[in-house]
Amino acid sequence: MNAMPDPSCHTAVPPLAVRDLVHCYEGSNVLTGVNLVLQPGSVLGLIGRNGAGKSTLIRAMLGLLQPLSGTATVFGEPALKLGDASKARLAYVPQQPEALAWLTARQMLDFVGRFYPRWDQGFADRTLERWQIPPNKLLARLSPGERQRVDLIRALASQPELLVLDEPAAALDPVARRELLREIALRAGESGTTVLFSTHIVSDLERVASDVAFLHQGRLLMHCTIDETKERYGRLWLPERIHYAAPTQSLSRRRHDDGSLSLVVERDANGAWPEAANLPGARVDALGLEDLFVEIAE
Amino acid sequence: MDASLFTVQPASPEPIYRQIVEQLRRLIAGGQLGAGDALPSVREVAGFHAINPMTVSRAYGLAEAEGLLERLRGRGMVVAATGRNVQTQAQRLTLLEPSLLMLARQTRELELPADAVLRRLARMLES
Amino acid sequence: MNIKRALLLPWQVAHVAVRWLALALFGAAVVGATAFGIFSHQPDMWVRTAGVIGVAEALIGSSCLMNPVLLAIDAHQLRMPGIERQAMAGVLLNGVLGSFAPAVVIGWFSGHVLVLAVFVALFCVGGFLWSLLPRYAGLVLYLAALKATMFTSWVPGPGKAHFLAWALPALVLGLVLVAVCWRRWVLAPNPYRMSRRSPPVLRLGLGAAVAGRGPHSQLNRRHPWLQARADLRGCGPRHPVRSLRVALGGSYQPLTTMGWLRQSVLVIAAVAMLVAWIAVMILQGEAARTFSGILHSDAMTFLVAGGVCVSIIYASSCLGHLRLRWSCVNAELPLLALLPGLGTGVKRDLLRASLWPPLRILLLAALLALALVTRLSGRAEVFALLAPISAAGYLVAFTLLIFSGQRPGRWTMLGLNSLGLLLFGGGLFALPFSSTGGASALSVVLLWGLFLIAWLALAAILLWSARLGWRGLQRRPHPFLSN
Repeated sequence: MNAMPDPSCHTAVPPLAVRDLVHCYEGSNVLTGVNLVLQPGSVLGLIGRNGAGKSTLIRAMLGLLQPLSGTATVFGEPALKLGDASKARLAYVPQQPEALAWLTARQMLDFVGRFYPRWDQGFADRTLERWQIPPNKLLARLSPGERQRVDLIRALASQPELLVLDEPAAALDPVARRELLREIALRAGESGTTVLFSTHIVSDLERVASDVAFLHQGRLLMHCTIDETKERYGRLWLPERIHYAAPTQSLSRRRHDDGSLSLVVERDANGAWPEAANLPGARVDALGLEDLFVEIAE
Repeated sequence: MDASLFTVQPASPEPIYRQIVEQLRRLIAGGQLGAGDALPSVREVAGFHAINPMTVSRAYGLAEAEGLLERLRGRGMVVAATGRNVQTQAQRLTLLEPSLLMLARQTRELELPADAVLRRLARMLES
Repeated sequence: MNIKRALLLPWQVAHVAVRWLALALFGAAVVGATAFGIFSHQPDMWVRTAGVIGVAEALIGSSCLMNPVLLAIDAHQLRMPGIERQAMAGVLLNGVLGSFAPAVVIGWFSGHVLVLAVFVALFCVGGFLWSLLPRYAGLVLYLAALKATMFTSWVPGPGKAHFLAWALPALVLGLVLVAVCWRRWVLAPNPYRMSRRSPPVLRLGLGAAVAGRGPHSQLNRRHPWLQARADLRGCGPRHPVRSLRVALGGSYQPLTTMGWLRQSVLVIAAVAMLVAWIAVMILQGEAARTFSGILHSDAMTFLVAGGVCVSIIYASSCLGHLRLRWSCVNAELPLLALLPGLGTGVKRDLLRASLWPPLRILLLAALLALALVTRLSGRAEVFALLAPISAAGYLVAFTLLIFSGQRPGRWTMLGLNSLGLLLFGGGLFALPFSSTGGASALSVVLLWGLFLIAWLALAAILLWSARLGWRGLQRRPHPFLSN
């Protein structure tokens, strides 16, 4: 199985767990029965198309909205009624953060820092300087990328055990994005921080995530380790004359104009592809995550 | 050796840990890494490439199990002393495995008879 | 050009609720004021009637009727032909119709159709100018109107001779100014970029929506030096109320003295100007020779009406701020919901942080009004007292509703809006009538009985809404859920 961090930092309770989560906005279903458990020390990348319900799922997991039905727990506590102790172990950065725009970056970090017992002011100051953010300018006057970085500093400086990031890289340039990924990766490796982040930039996810979850049309299509995903799934292409041999079990099935067929198939328990892959003319391609995502979500 | 030793392509269908093991095999087989050479630490590799440290330690663990690397107290991972010279034929053959697999697949796709391909290959190996 | 289309255009551009509200206000003003004018048997009552209609016309002129300028701007930016002319025709037609139609109705009973039409049209053009000129020009307009009502001998009113001698040129001058401003904003290369000189039509209501301004445009626009700086001293887990006030922002946040001065420097300057203006008028001693003379003059009516508007605008701006904060999923709500150290009494603390700062200011306004009422022993000025009190009622009820995520039913909202309109409009109309004592005893009793009932009904609905909000808040697991 995949390498897990040191077992000593395992706690019995998962940092995040949801069960049978259902939610809808004005009649249209956003989440239709999601079950997800985040293992301690894992870095889970949540991937899905725009409007797939990623943000809603994250917000429901953290108790920022009341789901229609289902339960969400954070460190074993009901997410909607978190105690101070659990809150201090958790940091969340929303998509395009806009909080406290009437404060300067330094004021905001100063204000928020007073509430966290393990706040690392040194880290906050250093990172503000390293990321070249004017500390005495009102947040309202910073660019979206700068505001996102300030909020990331806010989240990281509280030294959380669980870090939840909603599209953290959306407003960042490639250099800042790489730097953020480095920070996430090292925190996960050294402090055993559990991370959940949503993205639609697949290459980010492939770098740092240990697990990946596909959210499509309000359902979790798959949730497994990232290496396993790459090794286990492939695209089977069958020309028209043998398309009858297509296996019935497949994650997606697409017929092309010339009658040929593309399927996303899975290796069996012994690591073998379905039988049709061995027919003459058939072809199995290994899939990168992005291709796999496109094949499934299309 | 520092972390720039490896190149990582996250978008490739090949998992990152396999990419690292593969590169280690080549570097050792090709002599760029000699017995006793220290490898960059897990933290260095993970930080340099912004990848998950667990991926790096998984790659190192696999290479250790294969006998490519060994863990020395105080020095971290180094290239195993028994490295290149005593690689069995079977071990060396596994390095060729991906290319052979590719050849086999393309043979099937072109619908060529196996003996014709093997004859051609044998001639190429002799010349 | 299609006249009917042009006539309907400003109303089609307006938001549906604003459209009906404006029409209702105008209709109520015309019918109500005309009825009073007919039944009061006072010789110059029709001037006041026309004045009341004029105020309603100015309100509409400054809100709905100016929306076509946005249409003209967009049409110009998108290089769409014909629309600009149609928009202009729509504004003009509505302005002419709105001024002449009531003038004909009142003139039926009193004569002077032209004088009345010009009088009402002056208000209408004033409304146009207010929304097209920069903000500070609005204050000058208000002061000019104030002065005109004080110096009736200097500026002959519509009842006097020579009214048309100044009013007609003033009207033409106003229209020329309107045309100049219109051209300027339509041809501006980047009209939606806010600056100090941006007119209210681009800042408020539909203009704000079209300009796509974010919630923090105010913070973005102000010069850094005028920016209020929050006072973070004493914030932290030990002082949750103060910390919550920082997180609520806007007029809730605690400020340092310097920060407060910086933020309110513009308001202070405006008030100082007003006070200086009144002082000058007293010193000149034209219309009112004594302080009590000033207090009993029509100018006082204007001031009280201004005060009523300000307290209502203040309460609704506070509520607007909160509503916005409680509809953003990526702003303070998640931060506060996950902030450790706020403790278990967070609902109570939040109510204290959100209700006390604005209530304090409204209470101050009520005390000021109370001083005015005892000093004047006037009946109309009771409205000045009721305005901050009812504004406080709105504030409490709707703050609770916002925190609880409850939305009052459609009928409740309709009741609240119509009662508010009745009381607000009624206050504005009743002020000029009752301060003269010209109305007959019966109509005064009827009027006050009606207002008393309306006020009680308003209080009942507000209480009921507050109870709904309170219960909803108790049911919520935490108050930081977005709506």
